[in-house]
Amino acid sequence: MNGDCDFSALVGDFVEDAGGHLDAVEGFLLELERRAPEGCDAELVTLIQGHLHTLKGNSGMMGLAPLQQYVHRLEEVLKETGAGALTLDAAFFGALYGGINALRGALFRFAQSPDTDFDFAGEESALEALRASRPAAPDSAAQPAPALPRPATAAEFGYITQKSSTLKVNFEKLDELLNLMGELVIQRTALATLEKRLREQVTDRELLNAFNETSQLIGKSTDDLRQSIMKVRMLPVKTVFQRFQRLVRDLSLAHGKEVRLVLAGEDTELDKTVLDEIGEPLLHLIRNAVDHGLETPAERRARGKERCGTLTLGARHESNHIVISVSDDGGGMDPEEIRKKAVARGILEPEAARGMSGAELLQLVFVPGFSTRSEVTETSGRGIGLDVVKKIVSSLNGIIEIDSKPGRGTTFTMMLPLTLAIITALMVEVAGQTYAVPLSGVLESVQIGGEECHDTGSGEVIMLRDRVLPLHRLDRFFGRPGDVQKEQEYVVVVASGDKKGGLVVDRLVGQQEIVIKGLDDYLGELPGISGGTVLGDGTVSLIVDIPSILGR
Amino acid sequence: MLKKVLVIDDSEMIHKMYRLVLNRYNCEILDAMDGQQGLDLLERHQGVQLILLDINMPVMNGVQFLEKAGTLGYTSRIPVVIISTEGKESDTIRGLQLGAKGYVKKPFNPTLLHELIEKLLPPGGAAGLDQRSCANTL
Repeated sequence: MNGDCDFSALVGDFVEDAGGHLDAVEGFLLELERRAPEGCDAELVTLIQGHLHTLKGNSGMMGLAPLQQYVHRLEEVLKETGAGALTLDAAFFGALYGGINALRGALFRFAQSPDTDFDFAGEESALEALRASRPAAPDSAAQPAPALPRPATAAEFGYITQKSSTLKVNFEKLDELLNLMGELVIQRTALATLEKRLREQVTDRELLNAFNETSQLIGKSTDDLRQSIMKVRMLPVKTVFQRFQRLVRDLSLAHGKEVRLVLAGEDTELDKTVLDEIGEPLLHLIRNAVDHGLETPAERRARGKERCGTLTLGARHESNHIVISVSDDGGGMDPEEIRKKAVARGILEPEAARGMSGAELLQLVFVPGFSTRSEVTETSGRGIGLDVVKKIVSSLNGIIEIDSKPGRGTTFTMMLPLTLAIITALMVEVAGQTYAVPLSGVLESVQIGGEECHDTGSGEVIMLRDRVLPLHRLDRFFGRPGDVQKEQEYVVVVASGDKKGGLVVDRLVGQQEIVIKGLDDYLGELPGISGGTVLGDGTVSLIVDIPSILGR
Repeated sequence: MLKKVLVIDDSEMIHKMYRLVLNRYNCEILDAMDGQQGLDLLERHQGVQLILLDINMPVMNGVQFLEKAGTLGYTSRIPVVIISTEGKESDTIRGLQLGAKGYVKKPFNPTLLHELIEKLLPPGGAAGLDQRSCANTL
């Protein structure tokens, strides 16, 4: 139907564009729903129709007739609200949100394989049911003409002008920029090395000072440039936070609760690499808060609280990291209850449990298999526990903390690195090669005598402050066995989640900031290696993947 | 024959598609996201030979654009083709009354648009502009 024009090159653009329209429609629907008690807001309906109309036209141009037809049906349904024929009740919003979900799903499948068939039969019948159930179904002849949409003012379309002041750039290009930046940092280090050699051989003071000055300036510009590039990769956390408005609405309906979602510091900017990863832990924490944390309106009233619970999503910068918090004003957690549950579930010995403080007991919620409620609910159950959240946060080199007061509420605080593209690493030498161990996973480094290593049959261990620590010899792990037993060994104590271990290395080189470079796909999964980096002298150093080594 | 086209549509997607559709003419394409931007571009650029116009747009819609462009004398010089998703037909009729030379319904077959363009801008010169062309029946 597209004649001699092939629009297949635009599939990606179309899906992204359509996603934007659906996001906008959903946002306006939420607003419409919020204002529904005061009547149907015709302006919002017009805005929704505008997006649907554009989406319909574009779908048609892409040759996606079923999509076009279904969007048209949605548009028709909205028209009927304008005439006041349809009431804005839960069924209405349910059907429309359902429709948006179906469209998102269809677009996702279409992006994966453009030959996908679209089927909106279920959603269409939901819309049909809606129209059939309206109070007095007027025939099309008797139907009053829909009110003419008022042309929107420029101010209402501020988001369009805002769009034109920004530039959409493929993230890969920004990654490339950071990569080149990494090269520059390396070359600048090489320059410093060169200067040292010059000082030894050149006697012309003036020349040396001039060289030094230029070198310093290049260093400063390099730092500034790096910071600018990091800034370009930043997006306001709002883009992730906003997605949860809908989730909170759906969850609170499902659980018969009333919840108000408050966003704080949503303009805080995060590196895209971090932003992409926080969605999942946040999802679990929010589900948990609505499901377990906040009480029903009746319970809240009985406790003298406001009927509607408040869930706050916050973000802020703190020194060298990002702090993201999920806070509810619900029932909170009772340390006593946690103590009992932990003992009942065999997580803690009764004696050990007795000696623990309230704060220590709270930490138990992150232990696998722990849940403060005995029954498993549809949303929070199914094995998604706080232990999983902690695991995700750790894998991002972050930490998570909990604070809870019985009757007052619970706050989860995640502290995450500013970016996942640059890390501080402990450089170590193993069999003549330099490896980078991410510092976030390093607890300490110790020097031990060879005789302190004990072979247990299933592997070597050492005793570190009365605790058994399994050893992993990196030279053997990477298949580059070095000298046999030495008198003195360097052990880097590392942790991943609740696992600890000691990495045996030949030498500790020092700490360094490194730019992570991914390894090419053709290398496949490399156990023990998470990436590479280029050092100041141009040699490549591999980054040690702590979780995969400890997992063995 | 076609050297400069003004496309007025509020969808970025549609602008991308026009680039493919108009690729064969190897012409300059000016993109406007609403009627007002369209007028601004007309003021700044000489030699626009064709305007492809959407109806449903924020800020200034297609009908309002035609009214303004008419009083400014653009529509008598430059052929306008309304290209719009089915909606209010009264708007389209109003648009044609205001001097639009053609109407194409979205989604359209690019071949049809090509035919219409060739009819409005024959390779020989800018003759036959008075002829009203409808690619789709109303």
